[in-house]
Formats: sequence, structure tokens, C-alpha cells
Amino acid sequence: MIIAKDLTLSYEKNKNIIENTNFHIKDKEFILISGSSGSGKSTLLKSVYGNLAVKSGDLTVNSVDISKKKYQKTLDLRKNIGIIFQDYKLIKDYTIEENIKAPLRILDYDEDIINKQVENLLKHVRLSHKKGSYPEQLSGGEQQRVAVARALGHNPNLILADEPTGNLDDYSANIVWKLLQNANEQLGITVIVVTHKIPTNLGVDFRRFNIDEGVMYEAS
Amino acid sequence: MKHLRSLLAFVFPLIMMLSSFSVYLLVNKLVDNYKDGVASDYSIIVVANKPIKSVHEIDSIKIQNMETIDRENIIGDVKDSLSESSIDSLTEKLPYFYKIFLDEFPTTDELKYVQEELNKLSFIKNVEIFESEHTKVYSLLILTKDIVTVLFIIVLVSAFLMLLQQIRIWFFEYSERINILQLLGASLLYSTKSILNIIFTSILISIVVVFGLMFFIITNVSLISQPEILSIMPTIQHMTLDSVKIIALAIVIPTIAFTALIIKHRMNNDV
Repeated sequence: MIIAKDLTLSYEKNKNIIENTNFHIKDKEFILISGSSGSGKSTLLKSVYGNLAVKSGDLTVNSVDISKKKYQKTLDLRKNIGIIFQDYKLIKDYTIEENIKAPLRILDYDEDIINKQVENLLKHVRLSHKKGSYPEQLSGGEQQRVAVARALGHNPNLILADEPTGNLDDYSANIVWKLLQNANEQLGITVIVVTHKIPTNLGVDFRRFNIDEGVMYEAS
Repeated sequence: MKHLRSLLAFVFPLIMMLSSFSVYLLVNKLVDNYKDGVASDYSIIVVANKPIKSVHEIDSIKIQNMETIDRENIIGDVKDSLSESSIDSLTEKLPYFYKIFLDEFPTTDELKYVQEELNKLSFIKNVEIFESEHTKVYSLLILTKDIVTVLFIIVLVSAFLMLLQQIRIWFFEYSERINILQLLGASLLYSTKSILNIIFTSILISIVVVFGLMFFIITNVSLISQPEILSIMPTIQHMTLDSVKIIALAIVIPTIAFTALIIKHRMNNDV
């Protein structure tokens, strides 16, 4: 699924954020990546969805060599990935329903299929009653549930979540963790979550990595 | 209100550009119509030593047609006052006369050039040019046409820059949506669909306004100008091809501006 060999990432020429890192993530795994603030967790995730160029080394995601990324290849890769951000990244002037429909429309699904899928997803995240609302009319927890629904909508084989519960209260955070757990267990989706706060009651087998001083290693 | 203002910021330069293009086309049509109307109001008479069998013998100028002036008619005019032997001698020595018509109605300078070129040919004895007063009006129209062309180019460049600026503002306004859609795997073209929709709405509005104005001017020319102009004013039917040109310009210029910014955006934000 994801293979990194001597991966080095940086924003500036002389300062590496991630340095000579190696890891291998298999299909259907649930991965937690933790580390202190500014350690490079989000940077690593960015490179996985092709938003940051690889400085050196190799990074392969879904058999696509990201280190030699091309514009179209990166877009195609993203079509098989669901991404969840800490700040939700919902389109403000789209309704909740339209936000969830967006990736399905990009993939050119039939409108009937889109409607059915969105209806199911809204039920799944318990927001059917708010489908006509705009993101600003929702609480943080509700917005993140919409983001999860949007990430699941097009049946991706990989979900990347960047601090998905960072801005949420415990109640909303638990719902989001449950949704991610279900995605992994019931749908067999590989889930990678970057977080600085690992829940104590996560009911799923997971592997945990830690990033320290630019190097990612598997924590026991 | 904000949307309306930004729409107007795009529609206004587009209308300016299309209006100036319509005026440019209209003036061109007026000049052409005037030229056609006075096309035969000039004469170039060529006197040659030998018969000119084809216009190809005079290849230095663009001749549309050449008429032979019948020598018998010339002799016929003086026949009664001359003896038989004098008529024979005149027939023998009389040169050949031709009337030449050019491809286009010529300006004074062009007529002078034609005269010089014809005089260079060894078999031509003399060239006589009879200008009419239309030449001055025609020169004035050509000057008007040139001024309108220059103004149109200035308006075109200014409008293009204004359109470019407005699309740039839209790219900025929609940058969050564009980035999110690209993160979901959408192409840049798909992500900027909202901007394209506004552009094409603006194009549609501009075309309707400009066509409305053009229709009003052509059908009410006597109200806004001298009645004499009616004879050379093109009709709506004459403007069909020009309407296609206006629509093409309305689509092409914003498309070029949009494409230029798409390329720039892609170069600056590699996904």
C-alpha cells in the first residue's frame, strides 16, 4: 500500500523535516502516527497525497511512485484516497449534501448513484436532518463528520486523517474515531491517522508510529 | 450585490471591446459600400502603340478589367471632314485606346502609382487619369477607418487586461474551493468550473447588449445621423458574418485570458 525508502522531506533547501525514513504500511491496516508539534506528522501525510514534493528517496502509494509525481498521476491517486483535515476543509458555499457529493461528481458517478450514496452517508454520520445546511451552520464535530462522510463517499482504499479530532470535544472526537474504526473494520479501508492524542479506548488493532527528530519509527 | 459588482467588472470591458469591434466592422462595411457605390467613378485611359491582347501584359498592377475603345468610333467622328487618303493614313497611325478598371477603388496615391507603372511600359505611349471628387471623400473614409482600427486595438488591449485582472480576482476569491477540489482529485479545469460559469454568463450578457445596440443603430440610423448615410449603411442581413465575428471575439478573448491564468496557476501551484 505505502512504501517509503530513505524518504526525505523538506520545505526549505537546508532544513529537512523528515530525514531518511523507511516504513511499509500494508493494506487494511489502521495506523496511528504521533509525535510532538512540528515533528513532521502532517508533512509526511502531505507527501502521501502528493501535496509536497519528495526531496529524496522513494515513496510509493497505491503502486504510484509519488517521488516522481506528475500532475495527472497525483490527481488520479487522490481519487482513491479520502482525506480528512483538522480544519475540515469543507467548501463554504456548498451545502453539506453538495460537499459530500463533490468527490463523487469529480469521479463522474451517475447522479442517481450519487444521491443514494449521499443519503446513506448522511445516515451513517447521523446528519440527514442537516443536509441542506451550510458548513458554518454546523458545530465543529458535525463538520468533521461531514468531512468523514465526504472521505468515505467514493469508496477509497486509503483514508488519511490529519489531526481529525484536534479541534473537537471528547464526545465529537469519539464519534469520529468510531467512524474511522468502522471504515477500517467494515469496509477494509486502510486508515492512517496523524494525531498527537491517541485515544485510550480505540477498539481496533492498530500499529503506531512515532516521529522524532525527523525520523519515523514504529513504537512498541 | 458583491457578485453583481464583480460580474459587471467583467461584463463592462467585454461590452466596450465588443462595441468597439462592432464600430470597427460597421465602418469597414460603410467604406466597402461607399467604394462599391463609386467604383466606376474614375477612368484610366491607356494609349498604346500596339494592340494589348490581354491584361497579363500589364502585370505590374492589379487590373480587374480592360475595355477596348473602338478605333472605328474615333475615326467615325472625324470621317466626314477628311479625305479618303487622310482616313487611311489616320487609321494606320492611330494608336490603340483602352479603358482600365482596377480591382479596388483607388486613392489619389494609388492612381499616381498606377500612372507611373503604366508609363514604364514601352508599348504604352500615354496614360490619362480622370479623378472624381469621390476620391477625397474616400480618403476621408479611409482615414476614419484607420482611426477606428487604432482605437479598436487600444480598447481590445485595455479590455483584455481588465478581463485578465477580473479573472485573477476570481481565482483569488475561489482559491479555497479550487484547492479543496484539487485535494479531492479534481483537475484544475474542473475546480475552476464556477469561474468558467461566470465568464460564460458574462459573455452571453455582453453579446445580447452589443447585438441590441447594433440592431438599434442600424435600424435607427436616420435618427442619429444624416439621412444621406442611409445609402451606404449596411442592413441587418449584411451584418450576419460580422455577428459571427463578434460572437467569436466575445468567446476567444476571455478564453485566452482564462487559459493564460490557468497555465500560470498550474505553474505556481503544482497540485
